[in-house]
Amino acid sequence: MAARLESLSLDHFPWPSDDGSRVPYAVFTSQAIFEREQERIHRGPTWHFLALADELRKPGDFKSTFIGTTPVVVTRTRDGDLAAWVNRCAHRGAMVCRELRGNARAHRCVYHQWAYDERGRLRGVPFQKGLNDKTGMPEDFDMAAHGLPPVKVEDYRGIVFGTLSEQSPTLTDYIGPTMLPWVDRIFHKPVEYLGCTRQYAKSNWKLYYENVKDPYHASLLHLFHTTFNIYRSNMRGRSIVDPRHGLHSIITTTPQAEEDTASDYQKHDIATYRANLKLADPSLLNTRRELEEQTSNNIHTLFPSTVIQQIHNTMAVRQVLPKSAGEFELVFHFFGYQDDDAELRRLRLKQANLAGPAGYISMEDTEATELVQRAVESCDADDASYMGMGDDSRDQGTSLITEHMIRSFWRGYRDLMGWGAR
Amino acid sequence: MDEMREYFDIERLFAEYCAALDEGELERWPEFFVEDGLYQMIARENHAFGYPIPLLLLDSRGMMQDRVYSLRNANIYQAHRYRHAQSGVRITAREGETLRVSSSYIVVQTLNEGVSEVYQAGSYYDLLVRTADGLRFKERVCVYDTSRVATLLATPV
Repeated sequence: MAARLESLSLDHFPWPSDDGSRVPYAVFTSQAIFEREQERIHRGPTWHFLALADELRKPGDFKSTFIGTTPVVVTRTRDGDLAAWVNRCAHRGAMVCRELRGNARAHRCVYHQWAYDERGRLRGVPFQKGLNDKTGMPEDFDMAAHGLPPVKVEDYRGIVFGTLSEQSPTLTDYIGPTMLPWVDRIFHKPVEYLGCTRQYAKSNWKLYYENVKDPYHASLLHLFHTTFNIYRSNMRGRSIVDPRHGLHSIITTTPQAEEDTASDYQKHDIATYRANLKLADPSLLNTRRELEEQTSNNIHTLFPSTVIQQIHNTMAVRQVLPKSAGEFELVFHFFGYQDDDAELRRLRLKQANLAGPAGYISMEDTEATELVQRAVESCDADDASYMGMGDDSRDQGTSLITEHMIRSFWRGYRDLMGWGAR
Repeated sequence: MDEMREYFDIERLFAEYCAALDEGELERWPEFFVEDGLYQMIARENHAFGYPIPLLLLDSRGMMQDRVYSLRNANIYQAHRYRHAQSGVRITAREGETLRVSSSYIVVQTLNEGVSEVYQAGSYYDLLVRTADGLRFKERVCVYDTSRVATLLATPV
């Protein structure tokens, strides 16, 4: 007898297996689970991408964003530091900053004009001392006790992260020794912010996390490269997870010397292969060598909201913002290096055609996550996926035909949610 | 009279352009551009702050043909139909043989379920040039207000 979702107790939430290979679809649809995630994960001891430091160059520069569903503003202070605060007035809870980005010395709530400085400290309350013979705030009213809730913020090599939890480790401890060198590799010199593109998917945010940990789908869902004879599954690859908890991971692919790999596709009868088809204008893929190992793909996920992407010469930090159980926003923050020459900068802009909401090799990702969402919206509590591809003990993190990173992700997720394997 | 003639030619180009996209005749779309023409889509929020990253940047007819071929043969997306409404056509400058033209657009998208929604609103900033085949785009820059793209963007607007 299938259990109904409504009868689920979140404290005894059943998982069909302990290895992360079977995931109950309820984690994509249940609003109660979504709220528990916001509490334990997004407002919990995790670090979130807020901005590139280059977005906040001058004192007073600010940007509105989110940590999970919590609205947050990150600013450059008059001292040149970074600060961040929850964008919710300490008085009656109204949103204080109503702009996406800008420059301001003070942030004033429009409701009753409570004014805060760029660090979120309360600086002014209208009629605090009353008016004429009418009394104002209580005598012991203390400005310092009514600031905007502070968000801890750290800048690592030009990427600004924030956390809402006092329990979070330092940012570098959070990223950890396995993953830090991969951040250093891309952020090895100062970067320049080039702008963002946004898309909104009617699906659960974790479906996107599965997607960016899934090299198996790359040449099967994204047919652009195979159609134009560019990408092959037997490129040299990596699929590495953070061994501490399995939640961060990186996929890389690196082109090998010229070889005829088309036969693999013909052998497996995969429909995407067309011999000799070429781009009419191949300038799109004129890759400039700029990294010690010039990976063609570097998809680096830092749980739970950050994906660092390098595809040829286009680089971006993708920010994953959950909105509800069934919706998330994806923001691509594109960047180059500050010392780019004009030709390289032009190439980066052109290669933005590859990734983003209209990207040749990324547009299908939200299509796929929505296909899952639509099909699992109505299901029983014991309906689950099955992800058995690849064997990490044999593949040693070098296989691209694998789902081991997704399985690790789910094991780490269960621990955070209080559903760890016994 | 000459100015009326100009507006007439521009409106005719725009009508054909919208019809090609709205009727799904994508293969016609690159033909509205000169060989080294530019098609670019950029979010208003980037444009306003001077950030250059585009949503699409196709700087040759070859790149536009690749886009169409990829949409037809490679990319996966929901069947959809666009319906363009374009208004406020203004000639903003004349530079030699070229015309700078701006206008507003709204694209309504209809999916298979039969629901129509405003998919994108924005401005076209065009550079038009007279050719033997009539007016063509040297540049079409779409500055879109709808910065949050619904699911994905396959077909150019």
